[in-house]
Amino acid sequence: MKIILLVEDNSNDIELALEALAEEAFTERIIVVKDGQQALDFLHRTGSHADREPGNPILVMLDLKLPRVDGLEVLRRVKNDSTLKSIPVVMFTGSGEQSDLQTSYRLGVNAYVVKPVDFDEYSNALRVIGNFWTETNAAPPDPVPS
Amino acid sequence: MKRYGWQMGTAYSLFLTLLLVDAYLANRSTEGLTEAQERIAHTWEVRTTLRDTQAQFEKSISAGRGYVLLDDVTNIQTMEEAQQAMNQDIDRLNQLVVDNPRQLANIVKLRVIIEDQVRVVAEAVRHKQTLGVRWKADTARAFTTRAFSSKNYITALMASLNEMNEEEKKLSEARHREAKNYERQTRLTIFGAAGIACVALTATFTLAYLMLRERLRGEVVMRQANQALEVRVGERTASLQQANEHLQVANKELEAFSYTVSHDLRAPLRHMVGFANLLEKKSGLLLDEPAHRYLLLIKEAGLRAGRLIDDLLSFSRMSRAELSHSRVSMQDVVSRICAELEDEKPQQQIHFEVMPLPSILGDSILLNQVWHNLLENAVKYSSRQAISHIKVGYRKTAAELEFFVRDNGVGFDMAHAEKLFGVFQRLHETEDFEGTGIGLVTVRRIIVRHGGRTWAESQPGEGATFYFSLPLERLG
Repeated sequence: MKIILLVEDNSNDIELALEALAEEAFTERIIVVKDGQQALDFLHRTGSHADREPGNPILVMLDLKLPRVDGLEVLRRVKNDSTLKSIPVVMFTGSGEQSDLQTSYRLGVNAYVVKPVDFDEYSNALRVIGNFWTETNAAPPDPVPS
Repeated sequence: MKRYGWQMGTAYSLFLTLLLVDAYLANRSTEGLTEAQERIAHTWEVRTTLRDTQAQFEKSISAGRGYVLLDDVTNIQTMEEAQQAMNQDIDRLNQLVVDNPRQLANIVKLRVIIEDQVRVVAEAVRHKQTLGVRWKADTARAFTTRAFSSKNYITALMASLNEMNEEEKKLSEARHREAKNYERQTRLTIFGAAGIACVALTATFTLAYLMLRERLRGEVVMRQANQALEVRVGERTASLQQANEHLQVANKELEAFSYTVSHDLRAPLRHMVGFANLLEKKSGLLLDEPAHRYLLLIKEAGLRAGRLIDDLLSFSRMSRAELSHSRVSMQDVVSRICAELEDEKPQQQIHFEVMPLPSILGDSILLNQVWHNLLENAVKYSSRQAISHIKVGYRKTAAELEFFVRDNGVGFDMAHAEKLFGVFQRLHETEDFEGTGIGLVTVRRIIVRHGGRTWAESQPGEGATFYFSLPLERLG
């Protein structure tokens, strides 16, 4: 089963997100990590996630402000890694700052979504993103052929 | 410098006149002098000729006597030559004294004497020539005496000559005096001219010197002023640079501030609204009417806070950003926004009337924002009308381009017009018309950054007109 990796440090945001997607088919696939280092461990299958099932996630939803290793650093490492860079990464963050937007795209992010305050809009955004990358989009080959 | 103008003019005219008058006088006295000198020469010629006449007279007499007494034939020729010379002299004298009646009379007398004498002498000579030796010696002697020694002739002649000479001498003296006068005059006029020229030259140079000194002083003053100015400019520049640095620091702090707000403020709001929603969803059946209402209010408050923050953030971002420069077709922008608004509000009857609008040099995104805010406001505040009439146009004044958006909506009281463009100022209740009140602040900020002004006119119940102007230089 293809995993959706949600990288989010705020418990409230995690709860809201999971509630918003409660009725979606892909909700089972969601795995949550609460800081950047854990995200990297998961992706590389190192540290506390060394024993997880092999295979790249089908989507990474990434917040910007994270403890230990922050979102932009995670993005950079993923997109500079030949085995990981094909994974779709969607920035899902409260920041609408131009500087963050520009840096993210420069680093190769696939999409950048600002978390709406309005819950309906928030839920909708999550649903659309999830559905698109899991259903509509043709997933990148995994493992990536060399 | 100006006061030297007419002084110079007057002085110049004065000196010029003096010199011309002097020249005229000099000319006259010189003429007089020349004439006087000519007349003196004339007198001298008369006297010389008189002397010559006398000499020739004596020569002819002695020649005649010589022949008669000594038989020297050459004397005859000498005598005749002398007589001829004498005649010539007298003719000349006649010419010379033609304007002097007294002298003319004297010449007549002279001529008579001389003719007489010549006749007598000629007679004697003839006698001598015919008689020759036969002419008795004593007769000849007697004749000769009469002819040549007669005191009458000589006396008469001498007297006449003297008289003429005296006359001429007197004339000569008078003319010399005259000449001296003219000479004095001439000298005076020359010195006069020199004197006037000296004075004029001195005056001119003094004036020139004064003017130059004034000019130099002026230059010194100006140089000093310039230096002082440059010092001030230097100081101003330094303080401006300092102010600029402060501004840049402030800007950086503002950036950091809005970044924090962006992340940290919106999250709790999001959570608040989200959980209120979830509460509604999960426990809705357990709740009574007031509870539902409270939840709704909580959500709306949160959303409102969220919108406020977003507006503030975008306003702050816009204020800090550099103005970009491009050609913006106001016509295209307005047309597009009108079309969008019509689509967004299908239930509202909106009639847009858009005059042809010019192109502007400015920041495309920000100018879009201006029109969006103004037109959205116009639509919003005229939503209560059966048909919203919104008119867009512009006019050109001496220095500006004035744009306007007019609606037929609720209008507002001009007494409060001051507050319109202030942050978060609203002249209507939120229940009546939703909005955060930052739209017009944004418009003002953008227009001011483009060098223009914003203002509005209205009557309650009779719609409103919002104006903004841009400098004419922005016409593109």
